[in-house]
Amino acid sequence: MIRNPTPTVWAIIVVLAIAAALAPMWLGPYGVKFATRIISLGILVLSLDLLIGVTGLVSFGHAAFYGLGAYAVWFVSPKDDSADLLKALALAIGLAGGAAAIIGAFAVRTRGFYFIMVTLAASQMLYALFHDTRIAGGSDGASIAVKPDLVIAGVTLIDFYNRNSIYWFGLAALALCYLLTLWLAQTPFGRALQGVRQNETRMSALGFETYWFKLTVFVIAGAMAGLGGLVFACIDGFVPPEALGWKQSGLAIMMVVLGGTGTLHGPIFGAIIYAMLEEALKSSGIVGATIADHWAIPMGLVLIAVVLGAPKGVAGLLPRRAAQKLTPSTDEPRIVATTQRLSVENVGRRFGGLVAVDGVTLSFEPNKVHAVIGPNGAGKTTFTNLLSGALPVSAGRIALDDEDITALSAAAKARRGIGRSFQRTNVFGDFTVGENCAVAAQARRPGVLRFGADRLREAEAVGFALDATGLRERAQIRAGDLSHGEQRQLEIAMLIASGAKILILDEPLAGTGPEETRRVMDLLRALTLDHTIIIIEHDMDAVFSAADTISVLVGGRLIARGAPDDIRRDAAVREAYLGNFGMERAP
Amino acid sequence: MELALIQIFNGVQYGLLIFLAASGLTLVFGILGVINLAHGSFYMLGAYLALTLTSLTGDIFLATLLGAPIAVAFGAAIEFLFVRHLYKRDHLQQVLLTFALILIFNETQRILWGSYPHSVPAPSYLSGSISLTGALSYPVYRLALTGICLALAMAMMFVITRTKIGALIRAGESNREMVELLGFDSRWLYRLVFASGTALAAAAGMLAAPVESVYPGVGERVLIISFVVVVIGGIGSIRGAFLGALAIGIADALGKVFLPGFASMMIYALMAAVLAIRPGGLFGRAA
Amino acid sequence: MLVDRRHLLAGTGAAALTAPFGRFAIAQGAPIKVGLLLPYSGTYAALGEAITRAAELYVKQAGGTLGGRAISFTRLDDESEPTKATDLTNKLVYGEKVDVLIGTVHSGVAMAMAKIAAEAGVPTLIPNAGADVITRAGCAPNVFRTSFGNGQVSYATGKAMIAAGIKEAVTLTWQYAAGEEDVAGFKEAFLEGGGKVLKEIYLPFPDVEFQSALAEIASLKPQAVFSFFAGGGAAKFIKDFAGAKLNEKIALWGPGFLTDGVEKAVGAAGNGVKTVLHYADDLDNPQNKAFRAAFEAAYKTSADVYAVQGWDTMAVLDIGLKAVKGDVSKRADLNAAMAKAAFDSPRGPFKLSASRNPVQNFYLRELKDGANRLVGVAVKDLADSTKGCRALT
Repeated sequence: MIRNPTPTVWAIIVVLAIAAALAPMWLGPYGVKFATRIISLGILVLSLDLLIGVTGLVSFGHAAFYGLGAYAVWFVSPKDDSADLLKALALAIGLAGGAAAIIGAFAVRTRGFYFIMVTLAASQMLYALFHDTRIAGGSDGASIAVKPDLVIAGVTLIDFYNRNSIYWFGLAALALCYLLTLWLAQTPFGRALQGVRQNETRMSALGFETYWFKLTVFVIAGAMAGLGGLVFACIDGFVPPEALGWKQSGLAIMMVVLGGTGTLHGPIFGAIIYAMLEEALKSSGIVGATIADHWAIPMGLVLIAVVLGAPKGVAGLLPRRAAQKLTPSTDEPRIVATTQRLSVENVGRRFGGLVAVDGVTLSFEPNKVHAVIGPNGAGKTTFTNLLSGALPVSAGRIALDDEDITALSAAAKARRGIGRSFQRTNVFGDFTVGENCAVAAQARRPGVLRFGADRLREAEAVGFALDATGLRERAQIRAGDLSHGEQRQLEIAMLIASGAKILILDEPLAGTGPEETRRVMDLLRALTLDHTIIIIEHDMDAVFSAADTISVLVGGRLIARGAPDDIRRDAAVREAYLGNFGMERAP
Repeated sequence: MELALIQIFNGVQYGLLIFLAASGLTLVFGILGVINLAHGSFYMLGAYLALTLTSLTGDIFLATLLGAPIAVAFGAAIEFLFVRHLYKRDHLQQVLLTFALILIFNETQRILWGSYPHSVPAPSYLSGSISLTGALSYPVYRLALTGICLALAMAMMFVITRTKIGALIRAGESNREMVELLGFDSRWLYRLVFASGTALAAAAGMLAAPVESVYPGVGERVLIISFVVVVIGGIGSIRGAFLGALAIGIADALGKVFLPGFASMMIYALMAAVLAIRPGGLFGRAA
Repeated sequence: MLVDRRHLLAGTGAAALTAPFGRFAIAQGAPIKVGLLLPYSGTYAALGEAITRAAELYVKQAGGTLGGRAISFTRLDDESEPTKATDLTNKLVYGEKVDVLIGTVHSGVAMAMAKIAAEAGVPTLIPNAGADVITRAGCAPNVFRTSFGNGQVSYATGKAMIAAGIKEAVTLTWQYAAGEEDVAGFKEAFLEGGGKVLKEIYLPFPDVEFQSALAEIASLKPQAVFSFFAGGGAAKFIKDFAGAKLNEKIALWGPGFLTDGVEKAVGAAGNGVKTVLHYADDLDNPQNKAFRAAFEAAYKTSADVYAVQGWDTMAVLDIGLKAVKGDVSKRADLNAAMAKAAFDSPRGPFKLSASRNPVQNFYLRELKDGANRLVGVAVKDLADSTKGCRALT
């Protein structure tokens, strides 16, 4: 989870910012222009880190939006006159953001390497458009005769003819973008993005429409890159089509990785270091003529050294802030609450010719532990997928009290209090225990554009979930560092925090030791105070000792239903299990 | 109509050449999970090896036979020095490291061979042309090259599907631990795969040298088109790369003549279309 | 040798300190900084190298000084990468504070460079890039070109093709600004002369898969193909054209970049390719013979058109510096003098047009056995259009 930088890092950033703000006093004209170019790249890589480091979307076409922002300045500039800066800003951000919306609408449907290739392809098509046609100067590039200025009521407030103006403007834009992304990353919206990076499937299961989250951040990042492009175009008033080609996108990725992904300040350091290193290696005055002549070799060696020696980039060498402590528990007594009754009627599911679940009718009484058991391949997991909405039913009806919820999606069912955990442990390893619960609590209102955290209600939900599962002491620990049993507890805590009242747990005991098994089962019993529990489990000892009712599925059909003692004596169940064992033992 | 047929023939020919370059990439990517941006540099290495070795031996095929083991050794060395550290890292670091390798390779090429374009002669026994239509002829070497590419493609598919080493490679693609459990040292398997990928790219560069001139950056255009082929075919699938390369070749040849304004977008449009219908490529697992 | 001379000059500068006009004397003593923004890596590296070598040779032959002052070159690799072009130009103009700027090969880079140079007012000479606009609508009083305009070369080529009796042609080039400018110039001359363009074929830049274009040409059956390619792409095209045996029925023409620098690479496949350029290796004039001999002696390799352009760049600068006696701070005088430059170049008579683009002869050459042989003068004293230039001399 991205947090505010540590005091050390803040100190570096503030010193850099002050030095940068004063730099034009001692930098010559070239220095100022060089620094302005780094600033424009800084905005580009910062916006790219919003995609790569925060959301996990590796875009290989991000420069397309940078280039569009730059071309926007050309589009609004009259032939022999200056453009209005506000118009240029509006078009740069609008054009880049708009293009990002169109490209993103297709691209964010894909994942991983396919996303890389789709963004690459999109940017190459845009590059071809600007390179091959004369809409803006063609392959020779577009020249902006007079740079934009800002004139209000006859008074020239900003004039980019002055190179220091564009420098300070760019610096302010970069600072603003940095603070904006830093804030954004810590809002519920940003937290959801980081959840998407770690485990998109889990986020969907929690009820987040990940598509819209990804598309929104893609548009924000695109618009921000457009701003960087505007700064680039104003430095020298020249825009080549290569500014939106794949090499420029690749360069931005290099800078992000060099600086350290997912830190926001890291990529900016990366841009500074990369540009300065290249500048130094090309200056024969600094490194000697031989090296300057073959600068690409030492440059390559330095990059290799960084990848192998500092895999987390330059920012990885700096300290990172630990999670904040949670407010202490309010020792209020828990209120007993009844939940709704979940029932299914004749539900079935077929996969082609295979009937996985066949006409099951069941009702789960509130505030009880219900177990569903059956031999391998009995259709247990398919059954839970039908209950939670992960799979649509082929037949039958699902109801919550008297309301028909058969057709609702998993996300919609989650919002009605039906939560499920997965067979494999599925927590967000990079989040702390508390943050895992917070993102789950956010899932109660999983709308995309949530920037203000309802901190009080959220803290309440998180605290409740942590208390209920006994994890409060562990709240600041990275979830990835928990023991396996604790991770299973955390999953249950997340379900509770998400507001789930009916908890569907798929093998909550898989892989836990005896001590942990006991702890989880005690926890489940205690939770019935205000929850209904449905567990799919193989550990028969635990099931028979802790469940209130047991349902037995065999071959997709419900063959028995009752209290543990009834099931133990049930002839059909004995036959199913023993018959099954008998078959397994046969040679 | 005749023009369309000739273009399809051209496309198939071009596609087979691309296949040779892309097959190594799909192996390395599919099995090792490494995004190798330096793949184009290996193609360039092949082109320059062909230049030097042909001038020494006087025959491109002899040069290719000599060059192949050099490329294998080179690939194995690169794997040992750099790439093996990347198997458990994320794609971004692979991108950064292999980009750094491109910088170094390009500069080394300039130091060793200079910046002027060079030419590699086709062997005298294949240097003629055969008439195809009234006005158009085909160089014999180009036709021979098509045959060689086809033979290599079939040999590769045979190795992958019918041999023990192929079975290991396929197993390694889906499950590295399994291969190790079976008692094979996956480090050597991986080195072998990377070296083979390098050799395939270099072989493509060597065999194509007589129909292509040898110049700095000759591998760059191969890189992106190879990635497109890999994605269309499905990551790691030789069969997919084969069909993907043919599709790209034909689309490119037809696009240049019948949709001239969009020729440079053609391959990307094709890729987008394939991914829209099959998100994992023709023979890939869905992403 | 060079080191000694520098040493000597530094000495004179120091001695001059005590002279009455001390400040001026220091300026006279310090070398003139000439920035070379050229490709030293990437596709065009060979061109950058040839230009640099010729420029250095010129200064060496002039005894290390031009206009009475030593010349020091500051080289910067532009990688032919337009995104870096503005930054690198800034580095030379504002960082290194060069007195004179020379560059470059790639048109996109040159456009960026010329824009900054025009703003900064630093005297600038372009030794290759042919983008038309630089000496048309985008001209500036301090920006000179010593090579050619894209449309100028192709216009001459079109004239030569008409003169050779060609009535029907297909054009083939890459889809980029230089390609389009070349085709435009060619068409102007070719249509004027009553020729007919059957089709304009454009390939994606810098695609070198020519088979489909060749098949299309074969089906169109023109008398000739006008093609604009350079470097590795040109070599491959010539070979593919011959491989398809199109060279037996269809004449291959183009601006001279098609064959220059790749004569050896194409071998026999290039026999019969006719090109038009402002230079031919075997031009029979004393300047050319002397230049080629000196270049060969200095670098153990033959001079080419790019080297000639580098040489003439320094010749123009030399004329300007002589006029201001080495005082580069008199920019207006320097520019005015350079604009009037007229001399006998290895390429023949050389002078500058009102928009500071060369007025020069164009020669018809034929490639034979690895060498471009001079056939004759295609167009004499051809000037490029100055359309749109608002800073005519």
